Amino acid sequence: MKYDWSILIEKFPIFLPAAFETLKITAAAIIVGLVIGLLTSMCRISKIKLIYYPATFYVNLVRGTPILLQLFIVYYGLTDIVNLSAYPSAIIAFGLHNGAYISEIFRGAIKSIDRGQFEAARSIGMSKFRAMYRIILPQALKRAVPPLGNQFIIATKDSSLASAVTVKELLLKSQQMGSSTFRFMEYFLIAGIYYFIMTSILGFFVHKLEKRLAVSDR
Amino acid sequence: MSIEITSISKTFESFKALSDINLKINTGELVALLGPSGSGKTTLLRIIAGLETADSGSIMFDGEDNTGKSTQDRKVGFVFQHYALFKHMTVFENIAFGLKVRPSKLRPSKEVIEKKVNELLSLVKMEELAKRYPSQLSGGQRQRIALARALAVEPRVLLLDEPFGALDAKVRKDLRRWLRKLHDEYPITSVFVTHDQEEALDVADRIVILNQGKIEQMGTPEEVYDNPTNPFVYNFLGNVNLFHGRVHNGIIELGSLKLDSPEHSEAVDRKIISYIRPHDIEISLEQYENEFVAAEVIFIRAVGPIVNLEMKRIDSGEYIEAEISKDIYKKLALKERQTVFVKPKDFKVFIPEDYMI
Repeated sequence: MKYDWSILIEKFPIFLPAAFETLKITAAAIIVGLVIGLLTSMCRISKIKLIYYPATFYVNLVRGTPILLQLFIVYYGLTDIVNLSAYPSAIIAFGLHNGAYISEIFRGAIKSIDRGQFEAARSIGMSKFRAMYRIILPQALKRAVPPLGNQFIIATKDSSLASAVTVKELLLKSQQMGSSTFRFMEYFLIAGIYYFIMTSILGFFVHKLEKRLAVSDR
Repeated sequence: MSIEITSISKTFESFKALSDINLKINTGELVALLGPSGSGKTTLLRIIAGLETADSGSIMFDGEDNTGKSTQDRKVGFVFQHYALFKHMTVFENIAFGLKVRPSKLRPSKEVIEKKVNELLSLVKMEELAKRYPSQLSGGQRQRIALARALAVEPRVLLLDEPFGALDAKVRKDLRRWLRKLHDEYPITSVFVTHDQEEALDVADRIVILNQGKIEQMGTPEEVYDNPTNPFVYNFLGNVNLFHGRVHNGIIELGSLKLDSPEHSEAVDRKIISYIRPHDIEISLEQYENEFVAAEVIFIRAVGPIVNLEMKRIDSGEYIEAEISKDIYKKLALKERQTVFVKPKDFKVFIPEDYMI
């Protein structure tokens, strides 16, 4: 079977709404993930066992199970308890998944900040909480930018799994178009180009941000 | 503000960092905590700051108990060995930060903060670097900014942990003088940690010598250098020659060398170690009675105004280090492999059993 490359140009614009869906899911999952990640990382560096152990259990559980399984558990499991459509299910699942990985990124970044910074903040009269959010976190967030950028790119690509629970994003769109025309290769290529464009743009902005934040390190 | 340290002890797992430390630091004094690595000097400084908690004992600031207080409530300024400047802030922001984060009731106005920071920048001679980040400064500049930041919050006590430890020799010397001058102008009670004897002797009003978590001796630089109370202090404060011998009825015998020691007139044939500083060795080309001992010149290092000699005693094989001026060296016309006669001009005798642990 010969490939019809004209489809790539012809049908490319049709995928725009699906690409926006992908971006919306990714953005929502990243925002949820950042909030969960930051809070969990704080719990993971806490000396209070009641906070530390549940957070550690959550991180290990998420990192130790496949993302698709997590998506199915949220979609099929939660819909028994609350009436959830595919879209919020995907955001919850991806948010929880990203949260665990982002929490480890933040935790590593916080731990990498020299203890002297915290002690210096304390010695000029700051409380522990204030020292954490005014001195440690700004520096840690800066160090977290490259791995966070990487995680955002992974999240963009992982959003394709939402097609498994009928979210109308890029991959589902290409599957549907392929099924109706039997031109799977061409439509998957279109989806691939969209993913590549999105991740490249994201990578470019992360790199720009990295360079901008590096001013104080030069 | 005075600091009174009473019966402070601290153990890290099985390691005893400090044991029963008692020390009083007077208002406006600049005190050096001097000792080798692992002697407990940094631990003591951190306990004063509240960055570490003692297992027992108390810390009083002007008679007020600060033992249980947190670092932020002690109002101390702490200067770290590796500066610990906030990397994400400019020099100006670093210095101003302690004032900016005060509770709103105690926080000075923006104008007052700016004025204060500029005063401190001129005090540390860094006015033109206000907009730079710490990564754009040299080690010496960073250390001065760290000091300015510590002073900005108007601390009651200034604590410095090996402030010049990470700097090269020339910068160290310059900053040492600068710190001494700064302290004379701005006489805040200050405690600094160092393992550099020269630094402590050069800068401090009083030196506290620590070893294995205990205070060995404290006093003015002159007192500790000229009258060390035990072999450790003598050894630690500069180079030293050890002559092994015996003492009997006030006469010291160091091989063929005989010297008077009235303070040991009661001693009956006891082993002694005589401690002699290199600059207290007199060298002659002729022998006089039993006062001088023969030695062979092994090595000569004639760099700068002082000439360092390494010699070997002919009778006992013990090595002797001596320091003489260039003039004396030229007058004696010394050469390697030459036999000379040496005599201690000044010495301190310790009976080893008296200092057994």
